[in-house]
Amino acid sequence: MPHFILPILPDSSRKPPKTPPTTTYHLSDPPFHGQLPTDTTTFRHSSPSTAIVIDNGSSSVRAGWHTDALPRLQFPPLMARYTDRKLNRKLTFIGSEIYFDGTARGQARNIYEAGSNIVNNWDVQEGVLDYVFAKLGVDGHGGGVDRPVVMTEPLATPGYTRKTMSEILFELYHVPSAAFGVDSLFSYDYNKGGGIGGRGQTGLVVSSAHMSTHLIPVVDSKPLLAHATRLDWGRAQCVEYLTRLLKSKYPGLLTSGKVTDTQIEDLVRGHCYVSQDYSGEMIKMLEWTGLEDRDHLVQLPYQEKEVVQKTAEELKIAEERKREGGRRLQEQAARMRLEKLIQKEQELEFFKELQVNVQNAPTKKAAKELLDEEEFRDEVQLDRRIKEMEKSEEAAEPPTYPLLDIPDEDLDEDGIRAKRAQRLLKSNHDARARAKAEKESEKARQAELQRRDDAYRDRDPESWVSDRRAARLATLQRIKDRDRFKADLGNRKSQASQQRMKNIANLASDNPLGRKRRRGQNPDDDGFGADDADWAVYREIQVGRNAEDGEEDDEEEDLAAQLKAVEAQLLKFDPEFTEQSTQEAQRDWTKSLQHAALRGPYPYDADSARESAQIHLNVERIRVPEVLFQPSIAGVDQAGIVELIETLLQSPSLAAQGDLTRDIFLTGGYTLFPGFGERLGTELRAVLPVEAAVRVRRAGDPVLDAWRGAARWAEEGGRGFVTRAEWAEKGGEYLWEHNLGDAFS
Amino acid sequence: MAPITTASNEETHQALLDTLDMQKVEKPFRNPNWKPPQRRNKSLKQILSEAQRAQQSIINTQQNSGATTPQAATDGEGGAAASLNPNPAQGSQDLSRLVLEKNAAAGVQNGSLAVPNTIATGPSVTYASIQAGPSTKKPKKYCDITGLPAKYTCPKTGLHYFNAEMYKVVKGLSTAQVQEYLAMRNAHTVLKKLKDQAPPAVQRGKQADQAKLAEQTKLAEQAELAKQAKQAELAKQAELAEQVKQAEQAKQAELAEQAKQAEQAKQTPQTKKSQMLAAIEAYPGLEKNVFDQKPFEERTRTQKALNKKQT
Repeated sequence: MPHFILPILPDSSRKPPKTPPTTTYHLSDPPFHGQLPTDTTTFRHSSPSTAIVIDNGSSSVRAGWHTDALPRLQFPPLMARYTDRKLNRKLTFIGSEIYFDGTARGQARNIYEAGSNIVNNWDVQEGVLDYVFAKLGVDGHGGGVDRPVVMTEPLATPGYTRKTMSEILFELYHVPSAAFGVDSLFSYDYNKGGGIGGRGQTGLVVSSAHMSTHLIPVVDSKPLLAHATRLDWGRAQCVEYLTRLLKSKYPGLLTSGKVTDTQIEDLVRGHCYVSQDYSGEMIKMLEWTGLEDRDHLVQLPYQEKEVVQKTAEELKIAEERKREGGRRLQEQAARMRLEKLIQKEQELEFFKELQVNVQNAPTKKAAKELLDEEEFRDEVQLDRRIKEMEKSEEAAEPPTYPLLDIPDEDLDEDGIRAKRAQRLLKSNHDARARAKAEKESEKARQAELQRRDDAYRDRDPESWVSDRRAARLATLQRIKDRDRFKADLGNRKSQASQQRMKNIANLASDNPLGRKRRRGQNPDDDGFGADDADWAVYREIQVGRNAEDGEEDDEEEDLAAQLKAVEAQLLKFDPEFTEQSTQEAQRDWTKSLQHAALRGPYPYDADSARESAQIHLNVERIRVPEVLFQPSIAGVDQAGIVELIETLLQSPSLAAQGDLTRDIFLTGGYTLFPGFGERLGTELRAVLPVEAAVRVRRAGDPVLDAWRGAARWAEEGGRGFVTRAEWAEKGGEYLWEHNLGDAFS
Repeated sequence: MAPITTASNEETHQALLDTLDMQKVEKPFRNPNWKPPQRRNKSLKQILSEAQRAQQSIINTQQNSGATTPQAATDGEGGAAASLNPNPAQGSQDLSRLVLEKNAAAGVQNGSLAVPNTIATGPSVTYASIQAGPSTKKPKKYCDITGLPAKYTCPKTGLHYFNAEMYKVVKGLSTAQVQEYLAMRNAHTVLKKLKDQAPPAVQRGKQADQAKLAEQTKLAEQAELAKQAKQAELAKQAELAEQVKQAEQAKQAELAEQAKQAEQAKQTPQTKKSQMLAAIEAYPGLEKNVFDQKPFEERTRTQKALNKKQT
């Protein structure tokens, strides 16, 4: 059974394109908020017991004094440290301050390993802590940071991580004491709803944050960590998922590094929401009606191609210049011709003079010398040269072919050569004439056909229409067949492919075994080429010519043109054949689901730089946050959040199951997606027993309440600080367990 | 250096850069004598495997020393495997411990603990253990191209698709594009070198047994060295990092000793595993996956497959 219901197929009519969208979204600028202020006064007025509270989150670090109402420092856990070549010194930037500079952005490193909620880069962690202490105005007069530190950590932090963190705090910063606690528990504690019967509060903490999602049952203010579960999906994974989705949706658009992770994160934050009925809403997502509301258009930066529009005057000038150029060329040619002519005449005169000189020469020897000087062998050669020159000066006559009628026997060698040239000229001339005549007759034939066709139509319009329809269908079939053939060639085992290989082998072999080879004929001649269809073999063996190449197959073009002609006729004479039934209308983009997904309800012009730099978010808007409910969508091999809660509540050993569902507490940035709480409530209602009361509430501030909770915990003098002495004695992994913290493992 | 705002020019940008630079900000609160340990940046995978190994060694020590009462190994990651005594004669001694461990392991799975309402849950809560298991429900299919609910699957590529139009799109995709789409739901083909896949422990034992006769002597030497190193380091009470290294050496030693003779290994605690390896080879009936220390996810998957087979 499919898990969705398909709507009735939409009608085949062409839909009117929508007007361009009114709201276009743009990518956000890098979140550079300027320099965070350094405040030393609070430190100077603080007592040694005033704790520094640090929510060491993966999306942002929040830090401040526990007496503050809000964390005074909030910044992403990033550090960029590099050596500037120009300045020749090391530079370090922390937090959102890295965003002011392109190089710093490129060099930014995160505290956390990508995709996990465990601190991994301790150099960055040190930088971040430096930054926190410096901005809080710690002056180090008391020897290091002489204030206790409260830090958050993810649930079930590995011992190594806590050990390294303690080592940094105690050794490097010399803090007197440090405490660790789980952020979501701090948040839950801060949003105290009041316990039942004076005991602490009981509920299920659903903390869906940046890197992971945790479920922690809390009974009488005590977390049951043995029942806690972690789902490895958070908003960071959403960002990665959306990036991949968009990369395959718009190939090449995101690869150029135009769009950064923070920008994608803003897209996730600004456009995604949790659907209340995923399958149902998804199927309607790309429907034509209302698509313009569901489709969010994001314009990436682009560069408009410059089209130079010339004015009429400019065109005129260009034309004039062109003509001028032509004229000049002509003049030049004429001048050159004239010069040549003059030269030739002078030469002729010179030779004539030479002839006279030679004839008048006193001795034979003198005559010979004169001839030698001009490199003539004898007088005859000189004479011939003069004759030749005189002849070439005469104007060329119109082409006649006088030699053709004279038999070869009567001609000398030169004559025969001239006759051959004349014959060639004549045959060219004749061929042109023949082609002209053929064209004429073809035209006449077409006219005759047209006339007969018209007559047929007048005589019997119905059968004419049915004929045309059959012709249209046949053309469509041929197009289809060719497409299938092309597709089949992609498959090596298909018959088309095998036939092709056979043909290639046959053509390449030395003694081809064609079917047309007949006995008694020349063994080398297999009759190939006699039939026009033979040549189709070369077309058949030619593959790899894609439709995207731009140059379509000749035949393809032909078929498309044929189809168009037939459809034009049908449109004209068949009352039942309307604009909607043409192939073009049926292939119209308004009916294409893919177009709806890629371009929304708007036409698309591939040449427009603006339109090809647009991203349409439609299905992605619900597809991305849905992963928490159905991790299989993104290939995460874990159960969805609802199933996890269901399993957790069903475990027999868990105390106060009924009370847990009474207070399902949402915290963390993921719960900020619109509809998250409602969806979770509805789905839980569906799977939990009827008598179970389900109440879902969200933290007052799902993002900052963890810090506030930690600050309040510190204010209340929470027992859970590990002192320096204890750390030195008991080791780096030592931890005082408390109700808001992790368990020792 | 590309300034972000068009308003800033080279000069103001430079000034901004100077004010923001944390490198030259005085940090008097830092301990000037502190030097960070080398190679402290470890990936999560490394951290977890090291933690697991450390746990394993604790259990082994406790079991062999006899000084302490056997403690329930509740990490659920292979405690049961470590407790198996290959020697049938000594097996009964381990029985009590086995029971303890089994109960503890079951407790972790079901979430039942002896004292459920306390937070003294011991080592049961580890990073790996709180990871959510796979779903028991059949995943729904969604079109890989559009994301719409899908009824059909392309037999050639394995892509889900919504309708005939999408099938046309699917057919027009290149292999790389198909893999890209499949990768988004983690169903793509991953080509791995055989080398990268660490053979399971049992296989490793066999390999050592079968081939590499030439290497035997070399390994034996290494084993001796490892033993010496271990004693020396125990005396010194070295740091954990060194212990890890040593554990690795010990492992090599195990292999070598197993290849050589099982008897030599009896006295030292860390050769326990090799005994068991030998035992497993002697009794082919023993479950192989007792030794498989696959990550949680994989284990559950095989468990799922097993369950399916049984039903």
